[in-house]
Amino acid sequence: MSAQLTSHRRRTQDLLFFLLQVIFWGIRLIKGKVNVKAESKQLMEWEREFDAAARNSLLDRMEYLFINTYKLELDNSKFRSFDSIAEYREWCRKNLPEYLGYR
Amino acid sequence: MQVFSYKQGERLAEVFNRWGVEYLFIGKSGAIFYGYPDTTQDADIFPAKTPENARKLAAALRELGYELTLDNENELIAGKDFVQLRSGPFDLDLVFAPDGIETFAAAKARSIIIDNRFPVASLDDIIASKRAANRQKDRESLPRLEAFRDYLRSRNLTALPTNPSQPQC
Repeated sequence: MSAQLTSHRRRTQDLLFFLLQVIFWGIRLIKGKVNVKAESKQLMEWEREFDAAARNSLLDRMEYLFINTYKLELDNSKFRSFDSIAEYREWCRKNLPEYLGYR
Repeated sequence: MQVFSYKQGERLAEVFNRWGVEYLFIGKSGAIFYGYPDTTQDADIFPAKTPENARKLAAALRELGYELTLDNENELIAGKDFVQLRSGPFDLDLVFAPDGIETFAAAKARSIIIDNRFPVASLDDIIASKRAANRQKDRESLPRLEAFRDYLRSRNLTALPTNPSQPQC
């Protein structure tokens, strides 16, 4: 009787463990599926943009892709030189606002 | 200040060639030559870092209309890693030692000539350089730039056609 109870309890524990595993991996799978979908949607959008770019000549592409806006501090000097890229990065870190993205 | 355009690029290539400047387009401006559809505000040039090339570069830049003092020229010749020019027909960054690229010679060996006149660093080098620089603006643009490289590869293209209305060779 006691052996039967122990065996029954073990089977129940195994079943519970199995169900928990199914729930755990199920959630991960669903999350993974959502990310994969978002990524592939983004890629498809980019591919449409690349397809559109392919229909334009280099001359046209260059006409519209180079823009000119004043960049705070960066555009305040006619000539600026740095001995090393590390020195340039340090200058950017100290002098440029974060929103310009140079950090 | 004018914005960099095809005409400006054409003029730069013509003047640099005449002076014998060794250089490559790099950065996002380089990627635009491949057909990458994104905006940028300046042209990035990767010149060979030698005193001789710097002398030719200074002469070519003056011819293009950049104001360079003798001190500026001497700095170029002495060997800088990065120079920003805001005194000419368009904004120009001279990157003599881009992150993630070992030497000019190696980059030149992997580069291509676009539209028979524009020497451009390979897309792999442009990507490697942005990845190594690891600035916020590079981190944001890398996934799309890598997707563009994959787009070209999946179509067996080195670059988008420069003139889609004409039959491609």
